[in-house]
Amino acid sequence: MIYGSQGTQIVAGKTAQTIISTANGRPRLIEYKLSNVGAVTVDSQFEIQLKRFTAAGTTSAVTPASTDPSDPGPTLFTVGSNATVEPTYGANTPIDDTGCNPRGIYRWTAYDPRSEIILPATASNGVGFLLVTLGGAITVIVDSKVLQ
Amino acid sequence: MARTRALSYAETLDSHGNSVVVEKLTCSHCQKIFDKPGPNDDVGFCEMCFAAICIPCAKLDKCDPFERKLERMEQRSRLLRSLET
Repeated sequence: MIYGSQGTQIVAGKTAQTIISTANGRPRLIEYKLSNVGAVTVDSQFEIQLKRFTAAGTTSAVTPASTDPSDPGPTLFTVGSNATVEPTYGANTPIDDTGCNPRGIYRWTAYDPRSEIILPATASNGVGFLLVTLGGAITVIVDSKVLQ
Repeated sequence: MARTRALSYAETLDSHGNSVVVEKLTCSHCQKIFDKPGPNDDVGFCEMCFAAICIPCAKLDKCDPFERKLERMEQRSRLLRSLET
């Protein structure tokens, strides 16, 4: 089952979206899209890092929507948006580090199961989209698709 | 790298608004997403798990698939939980 969810952020150095595992199984991130809403102030890029964390921080809860409306809600993960307390990120290098012009979009899609980003079956662990640099963006939007 | 096909794609827009698609690979050992290298570019490939890996993982010169790392993470978590109870 595939679930879509969105996260937003307006402050650099804060996380736009967290995908948080439960101990029930391993969800997989299969797609994400980065975009901006609002009038672009400066034509400079915003930067997003996709990183793993071991403690989820504090976010606004988001209800993931299944692509098939007959599917039940997700059981392997929860989603948070607009972190007020940052997740505890690992010290290792990010999974992905992407700059994106705020007038455009960036979309990453896995076309092979070997490229899907696997989350551990461990509570409070997961991945987060950290807005490193705001650039000329106003409100950065992260749209992700998670498979369970 | 002829034996490694792209596993994922990234799409963005150029300054004229045209779509630009970049072929990507995911490291089998750390899951880092990186651009698919050209035919003459330096890239790692693990002969043990037979998958593309990033240069930093290739320099470690050992096969440690990400699934195995996940198992260790989960075991550690289960152990900590059992110690708490």
